[in-house]
Order: sequence, then C-alpha cells, then structure tokens
Amino acid sequence: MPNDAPQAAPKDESMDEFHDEPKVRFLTLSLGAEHYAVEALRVREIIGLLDITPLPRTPAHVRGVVNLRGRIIPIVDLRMRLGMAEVEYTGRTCVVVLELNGKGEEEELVLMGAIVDLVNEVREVGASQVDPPSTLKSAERAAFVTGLAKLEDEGLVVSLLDIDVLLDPSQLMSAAAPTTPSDVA
Amino acid sequence: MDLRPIFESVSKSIAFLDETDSQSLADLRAALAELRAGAESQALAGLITACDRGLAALDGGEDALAELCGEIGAYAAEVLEALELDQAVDSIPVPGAAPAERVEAADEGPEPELLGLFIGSANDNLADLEEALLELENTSEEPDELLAQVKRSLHTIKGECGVIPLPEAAALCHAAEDVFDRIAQGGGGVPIPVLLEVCDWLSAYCQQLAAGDTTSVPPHAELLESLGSAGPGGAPNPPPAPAAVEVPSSSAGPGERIAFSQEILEDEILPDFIGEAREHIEASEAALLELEHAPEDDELINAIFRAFHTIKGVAGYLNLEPMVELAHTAEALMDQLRKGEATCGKRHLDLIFTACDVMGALVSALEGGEGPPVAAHRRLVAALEREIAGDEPASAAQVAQELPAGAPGNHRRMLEILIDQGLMTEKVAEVLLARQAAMPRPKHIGELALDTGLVTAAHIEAALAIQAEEEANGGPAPRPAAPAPQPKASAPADEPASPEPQASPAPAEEPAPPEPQASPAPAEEPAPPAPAPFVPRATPTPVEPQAISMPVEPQALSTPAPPANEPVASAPAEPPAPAPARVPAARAVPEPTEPTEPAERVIEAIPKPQPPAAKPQPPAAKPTPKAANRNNRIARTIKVNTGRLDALVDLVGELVIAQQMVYQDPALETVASERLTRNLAQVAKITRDMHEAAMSLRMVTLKPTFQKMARLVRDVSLKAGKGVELVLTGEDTELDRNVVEEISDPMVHLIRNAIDHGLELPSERVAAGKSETGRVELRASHQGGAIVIEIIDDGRGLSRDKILAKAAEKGCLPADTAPEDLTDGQVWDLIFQPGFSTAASVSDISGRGVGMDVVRRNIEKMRGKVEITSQAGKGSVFTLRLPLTLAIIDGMVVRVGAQRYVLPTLSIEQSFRPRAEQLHGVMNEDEVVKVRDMLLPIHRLRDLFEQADGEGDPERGILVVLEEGGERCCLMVDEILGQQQIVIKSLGEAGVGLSGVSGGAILGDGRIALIVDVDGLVTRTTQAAA
Repeated sequence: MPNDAPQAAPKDESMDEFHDEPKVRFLTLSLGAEHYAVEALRVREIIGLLDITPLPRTPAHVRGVVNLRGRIIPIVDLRMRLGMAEVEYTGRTCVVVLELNGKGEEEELVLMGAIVDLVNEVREVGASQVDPPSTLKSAERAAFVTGLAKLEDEGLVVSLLDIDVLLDPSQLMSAAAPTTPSDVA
Repeated sequence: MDLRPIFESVSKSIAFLDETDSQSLADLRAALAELRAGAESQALAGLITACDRGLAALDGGEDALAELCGEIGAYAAEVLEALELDQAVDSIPVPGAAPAERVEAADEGPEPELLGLFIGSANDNLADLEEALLELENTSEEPDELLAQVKRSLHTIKGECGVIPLPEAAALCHAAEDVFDRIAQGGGGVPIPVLLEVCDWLSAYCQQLAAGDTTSVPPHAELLESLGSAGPGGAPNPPPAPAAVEVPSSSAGPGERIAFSQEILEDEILPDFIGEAREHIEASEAALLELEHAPEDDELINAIFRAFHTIKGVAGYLNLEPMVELAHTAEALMDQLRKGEATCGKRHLDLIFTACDVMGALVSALEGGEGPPVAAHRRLVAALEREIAGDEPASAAQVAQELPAGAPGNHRRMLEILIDQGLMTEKVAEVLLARQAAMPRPKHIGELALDTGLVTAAHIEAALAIQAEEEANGGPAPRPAAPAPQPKASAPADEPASPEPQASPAPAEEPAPPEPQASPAPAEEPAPPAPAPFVPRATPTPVEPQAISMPVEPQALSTPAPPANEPVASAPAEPPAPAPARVPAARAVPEPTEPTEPAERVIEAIPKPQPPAAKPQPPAAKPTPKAANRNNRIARTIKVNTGRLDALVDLVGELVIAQQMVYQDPALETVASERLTRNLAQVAKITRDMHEAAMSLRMVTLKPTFQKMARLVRDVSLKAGKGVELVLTGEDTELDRNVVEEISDPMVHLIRNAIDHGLELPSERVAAGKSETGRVELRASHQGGAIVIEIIDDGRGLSRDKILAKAAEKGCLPADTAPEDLTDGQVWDLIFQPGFSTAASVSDISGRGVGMDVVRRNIEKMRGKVEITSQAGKGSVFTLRLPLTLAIIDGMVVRVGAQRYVLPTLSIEQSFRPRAEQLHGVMNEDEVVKVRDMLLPIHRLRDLFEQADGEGDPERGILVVLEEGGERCCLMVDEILGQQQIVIKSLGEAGVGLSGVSGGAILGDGRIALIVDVDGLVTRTTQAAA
C-alpha cells in the first residue's frame, strides 16, 4: 500500500505546458519551519479545531476523537507523530481530514484528522522533481515519506508524506513517536 | 468535438467523488455520459467501453467505485494525450475491460433480475431441502412427508433453474429427482450424503451467481454420476419401456404435483412476489404507453416481455396457475413481436393492456382483493392465443414431425393438442418426450406435462378426450383454424370421481352446457359471460376456502354451486360473481371440507376421490374474520437494499441525537411555554417510536443460522465418529441482522469444539453410563435486553487439570495466584488465550487452538460476552450473551473533570454519595466502601483514564456500583448528569486496542462522550484485586 501514491493518481498536465511528465497534486502544509505535503486526492476536507475528546491511555500524539457530522474520527497531532515538540494551538492551526485505505475485513475508507500548524496550497509535483526518501538518515522516518520534492520556484524542499504508513491506525495507537526528535519549533 | 473540456469535467467529478453523496454520483454520471457521447462521435471504442464500465459501476453501486473511476480517468487522460499527439490509442489498456466483457456476457446469460429472484428462493429451498434431508436421516417417523418435502424442494429448484435457464443445475436436480423416482419404484434407502452434496453444489453455485459470475459452473460431472448410480436400479439411462397407460386418471403412478393450497398463499415469498408483480405490471403499462408512440422500439417490447416472463417464473414457482397461464400467453405474444414475427399493432397493444389489467386484478386477488372475472381471464387468454396462433399456424405440426419416433404416437398427439391450446411450447414438449424416453418406467406423458406445472389435470383430461374422439373418427382431425378455446369447451364428461360430491355435480370439466352459473341464482351472479368457469380444473385438492385469496380452482367449482345448496343465495350483493377471488371466503359456499392432510402434500396427479367428508356449513358459521386476518397479513412488501436500511437506521440514530440536542438546549430553560414543552415531549416520543420501528426493520430470526448449524453438526459428527443428537430451541428468537451475521462464526467454533472435544467417543460414553449418542443443544432466548444463546453438550466437561497443565506449558498462568487457588471460572477463562488447545491430537475438525480467542474477540466486538459453565463428566455450557441491537443503549451520562462518559444503565446497580463512615482505607493504598454489608473496591474513573482533572475525594464525588457477570465494583465519578438513550458510534480504527472504552456517543452539544466498557473495567479491576 505504501509508495503507490504518485503513480496511481490521475495525471493532469493542463497547467504546465513545458513538462509533459505526469504530475500529481499535493496539498502542502507547514509544521514549524518545515514543509510537508500530502496527496490532494486523499484530503477529504480541512476543518478548524473542534472540541477534542481525549482517549484514555493512548500515545500522546493521539489527541482524541472529534464528531465530524455524526461520524467519530480520531485526531492525530502531526507534529508529535513526526517527533517534533508540542506547541500551543493557534488560530491558524487546523485539521486536515485524510482518507486512509482501510485494512481488515471491512476495507472501508478510514477517516483521520491530522493537526497541522498551517495549510499552504495545492501544488503539482512531477516525478522528476522528487528525490527518493533514502536521502534521510533515519530509516524509521524515511518510511513516513514517499519522497522529497524540490520546488525550484520557492527554493523549498517538501517532504511528501505517506499517510497510509504515518497514520496507520494499528501503529498509531501503540507506537510512540520516532525516538530522535528533531526539534524545529 | 473536443473531448478535452468534457474530460476536465469528468476528472473533476472523479476527484470530488463522494460515494455517499447522490449529487456527486449524479454529476459523475452526467460527465461520464457526456464523455461517452464524445467518444462515440470520434469512434473511440476503448473509451466508450471505459465509460460504459464506469456507468455500469455507478448503476451497480460497486464498492471500488472511486478506484475504478480513477482508472477510467487515467485512461481517458492517456487517450486524450495520444489523440493530441496523433498517436494510436489502441495500445492503451482499457481499464475494467474484463469486467465490462463480463457484463456483456451476463446480458446474454440469465437476466439479472430473474437471477436475483432465483437465488433468493433457491436459497430458501435449499435450506428446506437440507433440513428435510437431515431430518430424514435421523428420524423415521414421517419419512413419506419428508421425502415429499425433499422432492418438492428439488422440483421447485429444478423448475426455477429451467426458467433462468441454468441447465447444469437443472440437470443435477433432475438427476436427484430421478433417484427418488427409482426409490419410489424400487425401494431402498435415500442416499443422503450424495443429496447433501447436491445441496452444497447448488448453494455454491448460487453464491457464485450472486457474486456475479454467471459464466462458469462449478464442476458437477462427478456428482451427476454418483447421483446416477445412487439409489436402487442405479443404471442412469434404462431403455424406455413401452408405455401404454392410456387413462392417466385412475392408474396414476407416483407422479407428483405440488398442490395449490393455503400453504402456497401463506408462502413467505408471496408478499415479495406481490410487490414485484405490481412493479412489473406498472413498468409494462408505462412501456405500453410509450410503445403506442414508438411501436418499433425493441427495448420497450423487450421490457414488457421480460416483465411477463418474470411474473410467469415466480408465479409458476408459487403455482399460481391463472397467472402463469396469462403471463405465458402474454409473453408468447411479446416474444413474437420481439422476434419480429409480427409487427406491433393496436390490437396487440390493447391485448397486452388488458393483460396488464387482468394481471393486476389477479395480484389484487392474491392480496385478498377483488379478482378478475374468470370469464374475462379465459377470454383474454383465448384472444391472446388466437393472436399468437394466427401468426404462427404451422409450428406445432412441425414439432409433431420432429418428435422422436420412439415415443408412442398418442403421446405426441396429446402434446400437440396441448401446444395447440397454447399451454406449452414445442420446446417443453420435446423435453417431456425426451424425459419420458429416459425413464426406467415411463410415465404417461400427461403426468409429465402435469409435472411441469404448465397444465392442469383438466387440460390433460380434455386433451385425452379430444384424442379419443379423434381416434374414434379414425385419426387426428384437421387442425381447427382457431384452435384455442374449442377443445376445452368440448371436453367430455367422463371424469373420474369428482372431488366434491355436491359442489360440482357435473365435474368442473364441462363449461359448455349452461351449468349452474349460466343460470345463476339471480341476485347473485350478474350474467357471467359465456363459456366457462375457470379453465376447467378438476383439482384434487379442495383448498380450504377461507384461506384463499385468489381465484383458484375451488372457487371456480364452488361459485356455481348447485342451487340446491341455497346458502349461496343468502349472501347476495357480491356483484362480480364468476369466481371473484376471496369472495367465497366471506360467502360461505358449502364447504368442501379439506381432508386434514395439508394440501401442500404431494398428491397423485389426477383427481383421486376425496373422502366424502364434504359437509355443508351454514353460512353464519363461516369464519369471515379469518379471511380478514389473512388480508391483513399479506401486507404489501417491497424489497429494500440492506445498505439503505442501514442508512435509515443511522439517520434515525442521528435524529435521536439531534432531538436530544434540542431537548437539552440550555436556551430552553429561559422559555416558559407549556406548549413548547408539550410539543417537545411529543417529538421525543415520536423519535423514540421511530427508532423502535427502524430497529425492528432489521430484526431477523435465528432460524437460518440454527439450520446452518444443524448441517454442521451432521458433518462434524460423521467425521468425528460420534453420534450426535441435536436439539434446537428458540430458533424463532429475533435479533438484529447485524448481530446474526456476526455470531455465525463463533457458533461454528463452539459447536465443533462441543462435538470434537466435549463429547466422548461412543465407547467411552457407554462406559460412563451415558447413552451412546451424544447430545448437543442450541438454545436461544431473550433475557432482559439481551439475547442469550447457549451451546450445551452432555460430554465430558472441561478438564481443570488439563487446562492448568496446558496453561503452565504455554506460560499463560496468572503469575500472582497459585493454580489451585484459581476459581473454575478463571480456569475456564484460560482457554480463551490465543493458541490454547488441550486436544491431545490435532484433528481436522478442531484442536489447532485458533478458535476460542477468536470466538471471544468476535463476541466482544458486538459488546457481547462468552461464559462457560462446566461440570466434569456432565458436560459444558457455553453461553453467548449478545445485545439485541448494536446501535443504541440506555446510558447514564457522568462527568469527570471536563470530560463526560457514558455508563450503560444495564450495568448500574445503584449510585450514591458515600458518608465518611462507609469508607475504609486498606494499607493506605486501596479503598473500599461498605454498601449493604458488601465491601466493594473503589476505582476512580479519573485515575483509570489517567485524567488530570476530576475529583479525588469520594465524599465529594458520586460512587456508582457496577455489576457485570456477578462481579461488582464501585466507580467514582464527579457528577451524574442524566440518563438518556445513547447511540453507540464506533470509534473505528481509533478504538482498536483501547481498553475500558467500548465506543463513543455524541451528546446533546455535539461533543463526544466515551462509553465505558463496564465489563472490561470490572474484570480488570477484579483481576487486579485478585
């Protein structure tokens, strides 16, 4: 299931005349000073912070559950999940509701909310712009990303998150955050 | 045509696809349709296919819709790209091409509608069949009745297979039926195992069909062979003996025919059928209206054809002969139009319109309404037949020539006559003759024809009469120009003993002489149109009149009741007298009392004299209420997709929440309006009722599940070499469909264990002074708000020593307790550990130790419980305690700090604020409270859920005494907020592995409260205490 994201998505090149390589849309977001992105097709919606009901005896990055129009969905603090320091939530903090591919018998879509500091924009990323995650030192963290995208215009490097791995419920509920926190806050 | 903009809109629709949103689906459909049109204009076959596939998936509500659409979008993108670059598009693989082909293939195959219907009823029949076979194997009390049931089920399935058509399945059923024929003729036992295999094969096939695979058939050659050699005189195809049974009536062999009876009208699928038939009739009428303007439209003609075809199929299954007859002729006419053998003219339309009307009236009759006049039905069928015959005069004669020469001529002639009358097709005739030829002792062709259900005994009689006449005149008469009605009208009166002595003085056969109803009791019957009461039917089973809601034989017979029996006249005022459906019920014609042997039983094909029990009853004694009941009972039903049902239940759940949000709104406290309060209470009541009604929609009985287990018991007991007597109690207990679906697997595990581990070998049993046959009981009952299912065996019981030894070996003994101090309950609990099995050897039935932990997990997933009681040497009882429904509980909302939690009210014994003297500290660590002479441990929910806020002092909080499975503990919360109905929401993936919480509830303010899993909590705390 991991790593199939960029290839499987519909290709759309109407925006860019010069590149004829297939491109995938990503929603870019910020955690502190770092830039991340999730595949736009996997984003169900973006909501403000709701009242979160904490779940007892869960790892710290699982903030709890919220009522999304009658459906209970878990909320994960993406910073903490990636091993960054916890910060106060601000007015710009929001929840990106993502669709995970369900496992098990039911195979229905699993919705999960990820708390991020800031949502930026939807960008198109072509395969040639993406470096493999093997450049990362920690294999553990490398598993969370499908690649590193270089956005030349802004001179940014954006980590493309593999949400199916990062937010895999079975891992999420038990695992602690990566052991070596890279503190960027 | 530029495809690009269209494609943009398609990909947009795909991107925004929300499978739960009908608007989104509609958008996608529109976009796809547009794209398809565009593709058509440019002759892009692949793209058309892809679009079709997508549209089909949309229509079919396929699961992987989003995925598929994604593929289609990607494909379309590639095609466009290739087009823009002037490249070939053929090399691009078309997504979903294979399934699309499959869909096409299915079109040629069975009609999906019909198939669905077939699968539904076939499953029912298979269940009956299996049940009967199992009983047959165990009991010898009523073998005849059971045999009859088996044969009937087989026959029904075969008939339906023929309609679909599913030739392989039909052949198999046929072979199985032949086994019974051989048994009937040669004696001998029933080869149950082979027949069970047939059941298995058929249900596997049904499953496959249900899964949409209509192209392949599971291998069945071997099965056919073993059927061929089963039973006495096992040669598959004995040479046909010359048949010389001239008069079928008295010498009727064991020809079987399902009698038309109350049972049929009480058939469970009848309401379904009524709903469906109405839909078909309505659809036909709509199509007819369109057809008036576009007489060439094949699609419309096909639609009507299919509608009648479907009605015929099911009506045939239900043995509703007038319907079959009408549907058959209407279908035949449509078939001609369909094949272009005739052009659709006004005449045709009028006929079919009338057919719709009469069919509608027949359906009403099924529901207990007014049926159509017999004469009208008769005339219509005749008119249809004439219409068909007029265009196709020679076909029957051709058939006659093509018939196998081996068949006796008189049989052929007989079928010819029947074909002339439009009662069967040439194809059927051929099949019958072939079948007759294949029989070890050929039955008369008339019997075989009867078996098809297409014709009645009366038809055969009439045909025989014609034949006899012809023979007397020296050979077949030239075919009449308009053959249809005459033959019947000229039926002779040489009927064998008429079923009801006084009800039909001249046997129903001859309509021609102006019988009673032609000169009727004046007030009673306003000029019934000419020729006949119902197509003469000397039906041997007088069906209990008051149970009839359809114009079937008995009415036809009893309506023209001889004037001598005047009670008829005493109930005037029923205008459309000629056999109006349920009228006889109210009208109390002298009742041909039914011999108590229920009419469903297989009976001789040809009238056999009934015991002269017919005793007229005074009209007053006629139980009209019964008829009324019956009418009420056949409520109209519609079939509903379970997905929609679940959606409704979910919505009602939302409504309950929303209603409570309003009800608990703080703003209401400032309003002092009595009216508002009253109205709100009213809304609350309606909401509750609605919720109950919605939940009841999903209630089903346990019966099918239990029957499945019966089969399992049989198989397992054979394998294990242990005789098992299975006792089923409470199989009518109803519970939520979702629960039923979930308990099947755990039950399978438990029953296997009971037989394999629980029951001793016969020799051991005898040594232990027990009966050789073991006993397993399945018992279901309601207890409080729960369903209890017990699996009871009288085997050796659980062995404490073995379990403890095994646990020690596996290292799963509790560390802090000496094994000998464990209670029995705790020891039994050990077997739910993963990988635990005490079976000395692993058999292929059980013993791999993958069962019990799965059992517990599945049951607990439903908020249920498994309990074990066991006594060495006496047996064990596994008790499954399940909630009635998975969706709603009564809950008490409590507060701890800023959080609120829900405690299931069922688990709460009492709640109180403790006084200082009730509280006792133990070793500065534990706290107990004294409640009514019980010392209970206190647990702070705050601490259990690691909450930072919340009250710590018991004297300022509230203690709630929770009871679960006999264990009690005290839970301390800050405050009790109130009690309400709680819609349980799954925490989904978030809840996986979460202990102490069984779900979430959305409270009045839209926030979530966690539902405390009392069982888990109590068990954990008591275990910790132990």
